[in-house]
Amino acid sequence: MLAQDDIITRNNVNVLGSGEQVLLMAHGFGCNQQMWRFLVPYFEGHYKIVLFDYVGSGSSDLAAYSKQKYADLAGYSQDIVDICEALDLNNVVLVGHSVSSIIGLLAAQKIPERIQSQIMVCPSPCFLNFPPEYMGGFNREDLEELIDLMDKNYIGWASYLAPLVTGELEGKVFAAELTTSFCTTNPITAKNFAKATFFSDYRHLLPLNQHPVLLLQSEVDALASLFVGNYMLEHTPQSKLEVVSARGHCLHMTHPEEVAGLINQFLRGIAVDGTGL
Amino acid sequence: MTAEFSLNDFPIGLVVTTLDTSQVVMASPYFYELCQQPAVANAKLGQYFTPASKILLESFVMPMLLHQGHCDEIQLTIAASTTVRIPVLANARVMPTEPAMIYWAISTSQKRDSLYQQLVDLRNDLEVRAEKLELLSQTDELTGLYNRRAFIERANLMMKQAMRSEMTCAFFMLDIDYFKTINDQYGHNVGDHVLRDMAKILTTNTRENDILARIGGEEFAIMTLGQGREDSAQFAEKLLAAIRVQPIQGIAVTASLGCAISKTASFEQMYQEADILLYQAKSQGRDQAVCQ
Repeated sequence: MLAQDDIITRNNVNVLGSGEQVLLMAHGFGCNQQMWRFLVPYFEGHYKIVLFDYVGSGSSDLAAYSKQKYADLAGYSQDIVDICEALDLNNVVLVGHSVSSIIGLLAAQKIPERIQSQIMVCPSPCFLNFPPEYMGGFNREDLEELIDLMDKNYIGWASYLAPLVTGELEGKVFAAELTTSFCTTNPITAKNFAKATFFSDYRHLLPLNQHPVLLLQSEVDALASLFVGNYMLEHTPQSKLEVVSARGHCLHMTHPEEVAGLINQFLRGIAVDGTGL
Repeated sequence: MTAEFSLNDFPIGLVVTTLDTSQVVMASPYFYELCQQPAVANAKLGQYFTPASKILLESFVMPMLLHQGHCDEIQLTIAASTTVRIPVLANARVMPTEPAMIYWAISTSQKRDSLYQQLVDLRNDLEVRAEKLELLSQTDELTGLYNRRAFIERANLMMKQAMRSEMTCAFFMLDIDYFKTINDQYGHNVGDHVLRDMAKILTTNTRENDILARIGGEEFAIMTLGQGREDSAQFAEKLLAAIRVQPIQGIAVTASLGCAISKTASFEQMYQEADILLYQAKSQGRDQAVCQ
């Protein structure tokens, strides 16, 4: 097990509020833990809220980044496992946005005894289309173009050139390029996260779920359509789907009140009969 | 005087959308010129962009607009038709009206795009080369484990970490018994196979956060964090048992192991200690572990 202080620094872990029940909030691809700031006030009074940045995002320690480890969602799920173990968190409600729902599912399989339930905000197990049986929303070419677009938005010369110029090939130069901006500006980590997110297919994982799951879906979401929401519901045991009358992929930012209401209702249900369904 | 100048004449696409539904409530003629499409009622901004751009809009642009109220110089691609793609640069900010609106300035970026493509190609080439070099500098070619250099660097980091959090580090040094005889008897090719299979056994039996390396000819090193004396002794026995139980390349292979444990010792001290303990294990008859 890694030392608590090291994990706190590595993943920029922040603990807010107090309570027996832990809400561990995992941000999605692109941004950092600050995306939870609209939702946090609804829970701070009664829950212990644990926020963090995945290694490679936000203010995490980039020296701990491994391109190989974080090329796969399992690598990100290890961050969640490490945090739960280092802080000895139990009875955890995993709240994950978008891809973090699946990352959470992977983590919950590794440490089922520490997890109580999962809240999935705009989840998708697979963004690719496999017609006719599955329509994740995107073709392979669309996603290749995404990587290309990300390249053009984050050219990031320094990360590649500096080590070559200085002859320094370790993580130190790379680590110096810490970003404090809200959304990822590091070209290596952002692109790696994009590939891990958008080219993966974790549909096979859904039937293995062992915890109560609340699925929150937008009526119209370019990244996770209602088809995907219904697919998640159909294939995830112990799950419940709530469709919020909204547009967009960031329900927790645009509709925090509704999202908080639905989460509270679900958690109250679990308290009553253990399932929340 | 102002009446003579129209915003419509500026070569930039000006668009206003609602924050909550992304509906286009106003767009300048130049925007439709860029999109090569006529204006339609109740259009959503996303429909003018490629699917990849929609992902960027939803994953970066919208969260940034909601969080900080503005978003600058984002390159997106307009889907003018199924085949025509127009690279554009977008700036946007949220105006706190009721309801809140997003004001977009969208300009063409075709020349910038082709320059960037060249930069990206060149950078990708550099990336591949740098990665190859990095891998070469850290990996033991035969087994794929870390080499001695990478081990020393990573182990030092782990020891600093241990010192900060007052945790114990354990340094295991493992040496294949009678390896020279294996080489002499079966040839170097088989010897190489034995080393590779040994690496696999050790990989299977160590944890993700342990540091495992081949540091010499038939010598392997493992550093773990947080294991006390008893755990370390058990771990050492487990490793030796795993090696003992399966013949490698049809040969019954065993190994000897020395294990130093400390919270405060330097890397050099632990290295030396583990080496001495390994020597003891060898001199006591091999196929055994001697722990501090």
